Amino acid sequence: MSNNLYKLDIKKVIENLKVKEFSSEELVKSVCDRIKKVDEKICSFLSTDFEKSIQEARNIDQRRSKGEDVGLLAGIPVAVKDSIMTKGFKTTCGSKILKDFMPAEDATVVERLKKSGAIIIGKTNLDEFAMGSSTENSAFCVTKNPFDLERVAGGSSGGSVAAVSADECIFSIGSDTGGSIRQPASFCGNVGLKPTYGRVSRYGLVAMASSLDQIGPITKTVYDSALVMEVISGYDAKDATTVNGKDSSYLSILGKDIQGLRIGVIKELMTEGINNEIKNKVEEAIKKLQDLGAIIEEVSLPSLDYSLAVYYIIMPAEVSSNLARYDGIKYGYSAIKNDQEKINNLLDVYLKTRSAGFGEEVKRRIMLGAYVLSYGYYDAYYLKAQKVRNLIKNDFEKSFKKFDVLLSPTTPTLSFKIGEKTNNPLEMYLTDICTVSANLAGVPAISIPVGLTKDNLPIGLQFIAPHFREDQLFKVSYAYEQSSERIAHPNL
Amino acid sequence: MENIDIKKVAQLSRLEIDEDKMSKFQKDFVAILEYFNKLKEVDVSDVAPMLSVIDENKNVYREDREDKRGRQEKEISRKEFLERAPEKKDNYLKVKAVLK
Repeated sequence: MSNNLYKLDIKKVIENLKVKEFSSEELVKSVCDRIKKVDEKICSFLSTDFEKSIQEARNIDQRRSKGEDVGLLAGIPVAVKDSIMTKGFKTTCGSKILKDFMPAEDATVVERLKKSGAIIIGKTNLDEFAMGSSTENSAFCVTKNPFDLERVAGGSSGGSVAAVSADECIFSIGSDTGGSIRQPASFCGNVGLKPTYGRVSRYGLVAMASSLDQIGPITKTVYDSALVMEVISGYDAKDATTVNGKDSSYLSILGKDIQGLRIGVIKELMTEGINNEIKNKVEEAIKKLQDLGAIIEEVSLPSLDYSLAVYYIIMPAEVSSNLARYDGIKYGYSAIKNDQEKINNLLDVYLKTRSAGFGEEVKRRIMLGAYVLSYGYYDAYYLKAQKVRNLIKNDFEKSFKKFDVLLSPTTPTLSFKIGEKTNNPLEMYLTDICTVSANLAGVPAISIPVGLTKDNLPIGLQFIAPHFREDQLFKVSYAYEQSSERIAHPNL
Repeated sequence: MENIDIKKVAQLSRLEIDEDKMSKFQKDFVAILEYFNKLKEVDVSDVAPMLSVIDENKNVYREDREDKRGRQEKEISRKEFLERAPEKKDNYLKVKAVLK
């Protein structure tokens, strides 16, 4: 077994560590070797520190042998998206403007992971400032899909997802603003969860769109996702949007049957625009859920037809505000330090720093945001979008009166070829059509792998639940997962 | 779609777009704004704009009391801040003149 430790999931690792089948050091070394072997082909990681990780594993082994309580996730290597601050690892957000930025503190989620003994194995690649659906907007590299190296891993958490898919870590952490955990998880065959807004602290997550962002786990199994959520969820005084008093113990719900569970298939997300292989697999999954006792019907959420337009107005508006801080004054790249730039005044510092530091997609979204918020356009765009956003939230609440969870494909397309959509931003945005509405309404949503196409590409199925009802997501996902064959590991 | 002054929007955003990329940028920008026209179909006469995503986030308060946690717990140190600053002088952050 010792050579393939990197293939294990969290549950198996914990079981084996308990009976001393192997040590944390052996596990971490196995993962480090795996990264050394495959990451050149995939580019999941932007930074690693193998020596430090191995030393941390040794420390945990020593403490464990002394009988100390080392924590639930002790010695387990986790990869963290590079938009989440980690002391001791650079946090670049996939951007030149932060390419050498070293945070002075850990994000709350990172603190909680470390407290539970997890070992940060490295920081993963993403679209610049989480803006994108393929990591093609990263300033550093494109993360390849482990199932087909000519295709994208998805985005923006492409690095985190590919790392799990390629077994370069046991689990990872990403962020989801319009589908950035779920879409890549769907492309790469993993379990990706976007929690309820306010469930997981955003302190230390570099803000993209503050009313949409959520941090979430990317894992090999549903059980692992539930376990990680127990560690990272919960009220944080440093994030005023987190909510107190919401129970986050999910493990006990796993294994409960779904007899009588009412599932609504979202009509607006099962249109002709959806790839046929995806639609077929989703229909198969529906049958399987029915066999397990679920009661499944179609449901219409009419305002979902507008969710993409609403998202691409509100998100850039918040982006334009959140990225104003990158001005070359306090931290990060500054044109002042660049001898080749002529800086005459303060405005030059801003213009030259931001123009050189940001990529094209980031500039586009900042400008879209500035436009929709500007005098004369605010009412027609931003204010309107905020009203339609409430319609979307209402549609969800209405449907949850009749259904326990909703169902849809996670993506309208399969993982696409690298370069296929980079020439047309709007076409790239359309790949988010199934995922954005959950962020707009703040409801939790999960993507689970439900099979491979004839060309060996993963297909993801999405479940959506009411606010703070991640338990329903775990219940139905676990039931489905346990009654299906696990999809094969990619051939690497 | 009226002629959008991309240069003006860029200036507002404190950005510069390369001249040779300008025309494609403009074309893509306009295409996206045209997609937003979809929202014209929606009747929002009885709808309020969303102010908080979840109900629990309405009016989140804290006690009006001094935060007595030690400096270290609350914020990074001056030293840590200045370590990351592009330009500094005498323990202060240095910037170009703000006022003429």
